[in-house]
Amino acid sequence: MALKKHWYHILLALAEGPAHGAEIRRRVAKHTRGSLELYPAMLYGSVEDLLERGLVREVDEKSGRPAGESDRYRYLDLTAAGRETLAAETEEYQEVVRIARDLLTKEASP
Amino acid sequence: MSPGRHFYALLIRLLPADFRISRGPELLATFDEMRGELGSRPGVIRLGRFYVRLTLDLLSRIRAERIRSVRRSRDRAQPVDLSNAGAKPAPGKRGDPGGPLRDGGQDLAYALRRMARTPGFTAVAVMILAIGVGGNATIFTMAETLFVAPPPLIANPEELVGLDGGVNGAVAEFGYYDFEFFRTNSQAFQDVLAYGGFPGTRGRTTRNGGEISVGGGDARIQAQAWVVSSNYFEMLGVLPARGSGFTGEVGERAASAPEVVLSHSFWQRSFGGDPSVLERPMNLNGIPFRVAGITPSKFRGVNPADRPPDLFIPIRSAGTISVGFDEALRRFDDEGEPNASRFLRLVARLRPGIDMGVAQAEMDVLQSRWDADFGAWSNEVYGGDYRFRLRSQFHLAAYEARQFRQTLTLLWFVVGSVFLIACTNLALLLLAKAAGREREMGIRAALGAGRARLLRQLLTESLLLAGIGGALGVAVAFVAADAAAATLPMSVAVQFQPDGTVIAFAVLLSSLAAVLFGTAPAWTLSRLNVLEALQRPGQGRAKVLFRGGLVAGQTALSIVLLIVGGLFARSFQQARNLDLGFQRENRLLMSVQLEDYDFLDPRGFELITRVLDRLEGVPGVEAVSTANRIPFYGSNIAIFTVPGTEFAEQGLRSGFNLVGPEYFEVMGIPLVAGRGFSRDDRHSTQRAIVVNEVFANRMWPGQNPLGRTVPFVDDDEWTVVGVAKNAIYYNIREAPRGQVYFPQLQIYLGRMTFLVATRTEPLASARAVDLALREINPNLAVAFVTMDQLVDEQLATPRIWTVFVALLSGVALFLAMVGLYGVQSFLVARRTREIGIRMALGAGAPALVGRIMQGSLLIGGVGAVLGLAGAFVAAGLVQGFLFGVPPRDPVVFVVVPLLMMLACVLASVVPATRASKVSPVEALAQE
Repeated sequence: MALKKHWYHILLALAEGPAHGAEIRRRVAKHTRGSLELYPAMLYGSVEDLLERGLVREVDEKSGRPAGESDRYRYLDLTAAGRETLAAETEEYQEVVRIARDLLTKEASP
Repeated sequence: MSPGRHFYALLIRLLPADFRISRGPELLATFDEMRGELGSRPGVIRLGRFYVRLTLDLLSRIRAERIRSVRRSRDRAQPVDLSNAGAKPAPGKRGDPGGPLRDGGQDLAYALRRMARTPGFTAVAVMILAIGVGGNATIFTMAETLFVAPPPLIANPEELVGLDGGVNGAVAEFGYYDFEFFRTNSQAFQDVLAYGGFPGTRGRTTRNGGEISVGGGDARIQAQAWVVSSNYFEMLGVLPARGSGFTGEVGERAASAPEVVLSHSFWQRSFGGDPSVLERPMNLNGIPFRVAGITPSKFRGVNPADRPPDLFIPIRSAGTISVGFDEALRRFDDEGEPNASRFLRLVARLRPGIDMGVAQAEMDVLQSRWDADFGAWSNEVYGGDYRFRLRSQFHLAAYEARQFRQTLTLLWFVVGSVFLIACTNLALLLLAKAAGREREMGIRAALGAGRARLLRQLLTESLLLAGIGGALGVAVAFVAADAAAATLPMSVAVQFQPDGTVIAFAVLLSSLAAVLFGTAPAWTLSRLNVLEALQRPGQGRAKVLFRGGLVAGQTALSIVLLIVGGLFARSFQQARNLDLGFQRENRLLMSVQLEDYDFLDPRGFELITRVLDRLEGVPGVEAVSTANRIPFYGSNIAIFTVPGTEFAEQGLRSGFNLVGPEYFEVMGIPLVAGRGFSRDDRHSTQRAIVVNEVFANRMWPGQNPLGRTVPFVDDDEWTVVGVAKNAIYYNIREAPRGQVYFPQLQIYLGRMTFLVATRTEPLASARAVDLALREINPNLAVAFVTMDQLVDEQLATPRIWTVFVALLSGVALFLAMVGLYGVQSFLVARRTREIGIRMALGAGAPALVGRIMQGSLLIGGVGAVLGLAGAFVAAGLVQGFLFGVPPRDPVVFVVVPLLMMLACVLASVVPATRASKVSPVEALAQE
């Protein structure tokens, strides 16, 4: 299953622990050093997509929410399937990176 | 809620309901967070990028969310039935209520896809629409706020009526005795209130209020004050936010100490909102006042054309700090003549159950009693029967409403024309696109799409464009409304905030635009002959004519706008180069209130001399004089009757001023005969006057005015010692008028302005001059201004208009050129084959270029003729705004059409050259 780039990053953000949408956005910005900025509609649309596919789930508010956070947000966490998909996708990336490195080093030394 | 957030909330409404409901709050919260990260002053570019991305983000998601929404609702409606798994309901099946709706959804989805595929076109179209709708919504907001919505906080505004007077309701200001007269005698009114400008140190008595100095010593601050009747707040139903309000009875002398109410903004600005100001007296022009209250923060007074003042002073308290104020309230002066001081606006509250008609009938009865005292006098002054009139628009005087209406009409005309031009351009753009889609539409029709369906598809596309453009237009109105207030003829105190009505208006306008620019292409496409469309798209003479017509219309409108713009530019140039008749550079003006001595009290003259001596010693000061009146700040009017002239009986109405020694030298007003005043024109010497040329020529036509005498003040004879050149006195638009100058060392008035000619930048000397004045009296209220500032203030409105109209007519010209370019390119592309044949038959490139140019000039020419006709009418409309330029100024009327023709030629250069480079072989091989 090939993941869209922003789906991958949302899952990756949730690997750090349960979070709400705004927190996911912050984490993604941090992980990508600001190169991937998730605007609201894309962010929550993707969250819905991931919920539908069973890759993330909403978590009980009491356990997930730190004190003082707004109750406008709903908390999300990775499901087992989500965690697996993320791992599988990461493997695939690793493979791609390996191939790319090989190709590039070959090109560099004719 | 901030405008940006409003906008985003509106955008969110585009999403399907279920997603909006479940995720809306989070979307908004995330918006807040992202907006917060930008900081409070992010700069236009960063902010713009943010909103564009935000919008694109949301728009790009709409389709996916709609699909999801439809799928979910279907899943909910039809629980999975295993026996029927995999079978879908036949589309468009009879009795399927979702059919047309789903078609609509498909149309929308398809329209969105098309928009996303041509982002450049979409962006241009949306921008054009946003500007067009935004401009119109802005003016709509202004009109609504000024004419429809009552000023904030006033209780039961529907009971209030305003009073006008004079001949044909031309007068909106009344005397204090009129106020008392109606208050005591009317049965139809519950109560009447009066308000007006405090006659400040510069002697201006209306509009923006007068200057007062608050506090003492170095901590002095300038404030603007109004005088109001003590029932003012009570009658409007406005309770002070703090404090008890005025205690004085209306008509009686106010409470033991004079009182003042502070405006909320002045209290915040000058005292940091410190509540303890209510507990101690406040010094106004050196006299202690009791602070009786602070207004609610939203209170803006009665009239949106008034700048809300800093201080409200009861009429009966103002006399303590303003020279001659109490005399201005009296019914008759010392000689028993009716008092001519009229500076109060009156607003009355009708008794319940009494309507305007009844109240007006009572007014007419009271009028006869009023006429007994003032009828003869008012006839003389106003030249006709003076009549009181009620108006339901209590907040605006008749003449103000008229001026606002004129300005808004003109604004609307300019903005509306640009909007029409923009719509025409969009129509042309869509037509061009439509030409490219004939094959597509042909295929759709061949596959069985009905004409109605095609038409609806195309209208959906333009409605969607209009919807987005309209939404952005409302955002534009939020930003632009307050800025546009600068074009009004008066400074306006209200805040212009678009509301629900404005949004409804924008929706209406956008839909109208969609129909305007969307119908033509939709119609042409839906009438396609399927076979023809598939075989040879892009033919048809009618379409060419139609396009040419659109461009000609656009050109015509642009010419009208350009001519109006040209007239404004010329007018502004004239105003700037206007010979004021006096010097404006390096002149400092300080208005003060000195001791209140009698006209002829020698102590007054000594005081002036002392101040002049002191100021002449200040470093940087070249020369000093004084005047009772300064340019643009009101004028004194008197009727001069001179025996032995045409004006022995009737008298000549003229302005007059009291001026100090060397006045003409300091002001830079040249003398054409005789001499100016010096310190020798004193109390003890011969009474001397200087008259201006207009006065001299009217009073003594063809004779030497020097040595002649004019009776004035106690019937003293005043001898003409000099004739001064005419100057501007009151208003840059005024016609040349008579003016008489009296020496201030012979008639004293405590209110005066010291005029200082400085060697360098005048404000640099202000501090030293202020110190010198305070050595003479530490509590002296001083208002500083430079002559340059005074003149610039007069030019502010013409300048804004010029910039505004020039900008918009530039946009119009550009759009018209784009339109012409588009049409010519289209024609060339369409005629490639024909051109190829012509070239193959030996036609030269120059002849071809000539033919194309001919076409452009024909379109431009038709447009120019129509435009000139339109401009002829429009010029009449703007006449009142022009200065020193005839509305049908030949220069503008000749230059603009020529410019337009040139633009037409320029716009067709590229298509024409392209045509001349057509290779015959390729052109013929094309099909």
